[in-house]
Amino acid sequence: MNVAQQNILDHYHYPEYQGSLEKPSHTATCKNTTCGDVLTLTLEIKSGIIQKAAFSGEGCAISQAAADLFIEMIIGKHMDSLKEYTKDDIVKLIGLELSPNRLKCALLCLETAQRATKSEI
Amino acid sequence: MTSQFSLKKDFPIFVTRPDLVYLDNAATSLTPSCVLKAMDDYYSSCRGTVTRGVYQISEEATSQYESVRERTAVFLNTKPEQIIFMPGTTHGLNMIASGLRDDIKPHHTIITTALNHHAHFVPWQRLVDPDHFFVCPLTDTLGIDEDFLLTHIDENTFLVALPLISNVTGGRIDAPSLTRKIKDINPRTLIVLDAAQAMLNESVTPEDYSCDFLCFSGHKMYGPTGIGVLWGKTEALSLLEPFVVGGDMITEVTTTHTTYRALPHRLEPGTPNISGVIGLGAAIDYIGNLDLSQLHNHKHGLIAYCFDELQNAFGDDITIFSDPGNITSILSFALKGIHPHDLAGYLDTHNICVRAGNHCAQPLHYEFLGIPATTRISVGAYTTRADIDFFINKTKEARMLYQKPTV
Ligand SMILES: Cc1ncc(COP(=O)(O)O)c(C=O)c1O
Repeated sequence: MNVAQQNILDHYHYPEYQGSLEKPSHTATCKNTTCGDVLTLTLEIKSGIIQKAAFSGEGCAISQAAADLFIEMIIGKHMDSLKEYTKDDIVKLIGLELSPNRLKCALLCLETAQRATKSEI
Repeated sequence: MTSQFSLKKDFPIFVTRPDLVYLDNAATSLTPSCVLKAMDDYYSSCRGTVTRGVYQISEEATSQYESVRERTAVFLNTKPEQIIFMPGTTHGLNMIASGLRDDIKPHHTIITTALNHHAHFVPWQRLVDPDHFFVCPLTDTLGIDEDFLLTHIDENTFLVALPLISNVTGGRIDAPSLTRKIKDINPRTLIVLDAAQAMLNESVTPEDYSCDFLCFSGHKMYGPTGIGVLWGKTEALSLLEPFVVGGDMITEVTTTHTTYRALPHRLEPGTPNISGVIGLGAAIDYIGNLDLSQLHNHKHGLIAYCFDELQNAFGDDITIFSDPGNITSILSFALKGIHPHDLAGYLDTHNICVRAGNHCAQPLHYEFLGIPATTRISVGAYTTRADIDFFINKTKEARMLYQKPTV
């Protein structure tokens, strides 16, 4: 097992941002129908800045670890920056080569976050 | 007759990839050299179109093409004109659904089961309103709830859509008896059987069931991709309005009207998949040369072994969604502590191919089994006990790795 794989497993086993915020300002849930991954993100955004975020859901290690890593990356950033992230940023974050099917699992967090920013509660 | 079941030598992919452990035969089977050779011979020695040419290679191609229809008819114990070549099961089922669209009246109902593949679910769902579409519940052993099915058959039942073998559980339905009971209640109810998973698990003889249509795909029975068969009773096939029209399927076209050819050509528009049909013929010949009961026993034995080994290895932590009393060549399971995609991904790093997901059966997974995904194992003529042992060992390893540590 290489360092990147171990990192994914660590985030899967000991996620830092799992759960849901009590008073989120934004939220969204997305599904990956090929494998049945479900991801819910709750965000607390003040003056455009992402203050807090949490994820919950069910899915494979890649989808769950990617969500954890992604939240770590976006906290403190402006919500508009979420629009700018691409597939390549997520691949870099994961650090693993992913097959097209597994890539969908990894990208679920990005899709959910982008949808959440349009969903002010 | 081949007496022993290590048929790896017939399948050239094992020369290219000697370490391959292929356990996704329900998705598609591997292809033996004889099938590849038959298709290659067509391309290199009589590469003409069928039915239209007046020259030798076209006549040769036509005679090969039509001889496959005859051999398929013998294989199914039926008549050649009842064999319609289609790109696959999905196309066959859609040909039926589209061909019957104008016959559906507002009072009609359709009955199906969540055991069906989406290919045998969505085309029917689309034909009637949701309150005229009944999905049979399942029994505790993941069979079809026969009472529900039979009590819902009445004079309004237009069609019943059933699988011969589920592509998720591997369970087989008692088609001869069930179809007869349906017809006893309403002889006009059309019965469509999906035989995609059955062709290598039993002798499929449509005339032994009281069904009107039956479809299967060549690529799940050692044939090439892109070719399959729609079988129908002659009266039933005559009901179908061709949903694709054009060349080859007509007798006369004028500026004001068109007349169609007789069956089976009426339902085979355009230049067909000639090499596919020839490859399918070679696959049928290949299967015909095997000892089928030995093949069935081999595969059922491996799946039963796999079932026991999984149960022994994981006990209460595994749920196998297959009935040990009704085993064919497929089983699906959920293992606590590891998601099917992680398991399949890990196995892939050891050249083991298994399927993870909902296997084109979302209603079954989400609404009946209550889980989003399972891992599916399906064996073929080339699968060995060593393959199953390797799979079990690697599954144990994967679980150790992925299982969340208890704190
Ligand atoms: C039971 C069943 N029906 C239908 C299909 C669809 O077959 P095809 O993709 O060859 O059209 C499959 C396979 O994917 C299947 O397993």
